Amino acid sequence: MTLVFIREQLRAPLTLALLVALPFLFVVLAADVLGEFADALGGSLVADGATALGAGWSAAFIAGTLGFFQIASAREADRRLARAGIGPFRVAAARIAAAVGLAVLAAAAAYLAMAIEIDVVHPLHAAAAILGYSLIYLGLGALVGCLVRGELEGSLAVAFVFLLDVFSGPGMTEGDGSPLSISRSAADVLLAAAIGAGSPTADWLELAAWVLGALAVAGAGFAFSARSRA
Amino acid sequence: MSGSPSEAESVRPRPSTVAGESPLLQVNKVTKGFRHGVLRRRRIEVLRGASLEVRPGELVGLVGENGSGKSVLMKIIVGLLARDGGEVALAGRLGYCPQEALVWEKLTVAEHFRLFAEAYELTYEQATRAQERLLDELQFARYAGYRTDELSGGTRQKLNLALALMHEPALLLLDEPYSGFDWDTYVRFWEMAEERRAQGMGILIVSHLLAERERLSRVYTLSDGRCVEE
Amino acid sequence: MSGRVVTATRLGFREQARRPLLLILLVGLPLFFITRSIASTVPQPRVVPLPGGGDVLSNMQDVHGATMAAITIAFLAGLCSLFIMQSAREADRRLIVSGYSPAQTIVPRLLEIAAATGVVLVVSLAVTAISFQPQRWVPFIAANMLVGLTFGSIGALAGAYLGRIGGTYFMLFLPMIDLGIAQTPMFGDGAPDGWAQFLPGYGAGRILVDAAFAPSFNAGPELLLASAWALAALAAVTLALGRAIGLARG
Repeated sequence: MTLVFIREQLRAPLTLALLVALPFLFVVLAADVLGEFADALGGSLVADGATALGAGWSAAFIAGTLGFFQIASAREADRRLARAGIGPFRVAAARIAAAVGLAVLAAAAAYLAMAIEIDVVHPLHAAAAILGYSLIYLGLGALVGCLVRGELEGSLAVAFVFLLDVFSGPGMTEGDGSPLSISRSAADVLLAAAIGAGSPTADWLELAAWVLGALAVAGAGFAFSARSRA
Repeated sequence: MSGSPSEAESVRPRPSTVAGESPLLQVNKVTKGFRHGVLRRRRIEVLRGASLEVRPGELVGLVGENGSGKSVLMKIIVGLLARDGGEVALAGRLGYCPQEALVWEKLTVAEHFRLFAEAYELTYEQATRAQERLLDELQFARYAGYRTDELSGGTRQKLNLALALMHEPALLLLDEPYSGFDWDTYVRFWEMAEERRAQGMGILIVSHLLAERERLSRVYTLSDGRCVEE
Repeated sequence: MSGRVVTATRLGFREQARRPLLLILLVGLPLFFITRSIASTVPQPRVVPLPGGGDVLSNMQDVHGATMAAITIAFLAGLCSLFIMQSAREADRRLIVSGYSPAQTIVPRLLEIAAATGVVLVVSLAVTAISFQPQRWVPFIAANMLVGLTFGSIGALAGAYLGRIGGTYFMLFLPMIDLGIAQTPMFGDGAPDGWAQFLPGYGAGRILVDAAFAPSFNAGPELLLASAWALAALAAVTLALGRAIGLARG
């Protein structure tokens, strides 16, 4: 069922290519300027740090949109599937697995671009942090999908939260970043992995909590949309 | 459909009232194939010389297995799909009720009638009479002010059918027109079809239900890409 | 003919107006994005190269203010058009089977795209005006209109050929890369690199800079280029709509 859901999302022409190419292109093209951008906003990011965050952002937006469309495009079909005997939780698990699979692809493309542009101090930690970005936004997208029916409205809502997050992130403004930034824990770990000395356990635990929370939200969202209304 | 008949209904198809008149629809040896696959492109021939005709006052059925090409042939007849070969000749005004209710989610039932009244070039009086008549015939008058996204599946399908009948076409093409209908509406649908057939309308119905064959003047079976008259 | 266009246009607008969350986002997103961007920017000195040669001393906050509206308009107009095109492909074909000509369904859709772009344009420029005053408003507004027209049309094409998901990605990343990175005078030496000239936002981006900072208009070639992009994109989307919803009879 997971593979079927993956194929469903990739049915339109070039979706897979865009899912991989756009994060890669964004990181490569933005690498030179993101540090200046952070500086213009009064942030303290060095260029390599901004490039690392750029990889996280691009993977995040891809995953958030995916999470939203997974729910928005298949509400009725998933309900029928669940009623046919599979049950809403198995449908939700397959949906999450499909979304995670696709988000990993986008995260991998973003990570690869980052690794080309900068010398990553802790590569595995950085990869985990970018994946963390993706999974947190997957949960966000699923939450938006539960609350918002219209596809245009949902896409804009995901974009709105994404922009709020980017402008509130650590290093992008004066201070340590706003509590409004849902990806702050992932950003902290990513920055430490890319250009710093790695993260303390507390930061990893915080990131893990956010990721698990996001996956729980995503699971609840998919199960909610697949449940019978009877 | 749900519910059960209160008594057995016996319906015999009436003979064509205008035997010998020119067909309203002539489909002659239509072919259609599709290319599938990305890496290995293979061509699937869905229609291999399908031919059928509908005369005034006939209720003609087009049956066949799932995937036999019934909807493809219907879409070719109305022009939504290009045919690869063969000919399609239509005479008189056409009414088309697609399998999916192609309606506008945020418009009301009444607004849909307004929109299609313009399409059919009906005067205001004609459109109003048609709307009142069809809302009454299909028994969904109380939903006139409801938006489509507020309607049940069965009521959406009533709207779908009503829009095809507004202008009392010479030829009516129906692709599974009663999905979602309750039993009473299903019976009412066939009464409406009989009434219009008696008035000289030619009707082509794509149907899976074998029990309906006795209501039909003629039945074509679409098999192996060709229409065979039973 | 005009009765059909009027009815379809009126009902199309009514349909969009019944999406309150959309209207809130079309107003709220530019309000937040532009206001926050300008307010967050430190007013460091910045030399801005002008079209046609020469440069002017400004500051980063003003440079951000000059360019944020265009990025916002490009993204929002593109996304709105993408989904309007998706709707058109599905439901409008039935109208054509019922008697509308392709032109009679295309015109209302183009008007919807123009209206959505117009809403975003007005809100974005109004918000920008709170914090930033260009040297000349008329070419500034014209440049932003050209951005809306071009990226709105590109969004519609993305809707026709890339689908919802791919199109959404494309219409976020393209404005960010084109107007947000390649064309902006905020980074590097302030002038677009060679490759940036091939992007759809180049001409309008240069007109924006000229209107925002130059004492007189000196972006004639860029105006021609931007207009050509806008017209070409509009022609392409008209063709794409015609192909997507036209009938295959005969």
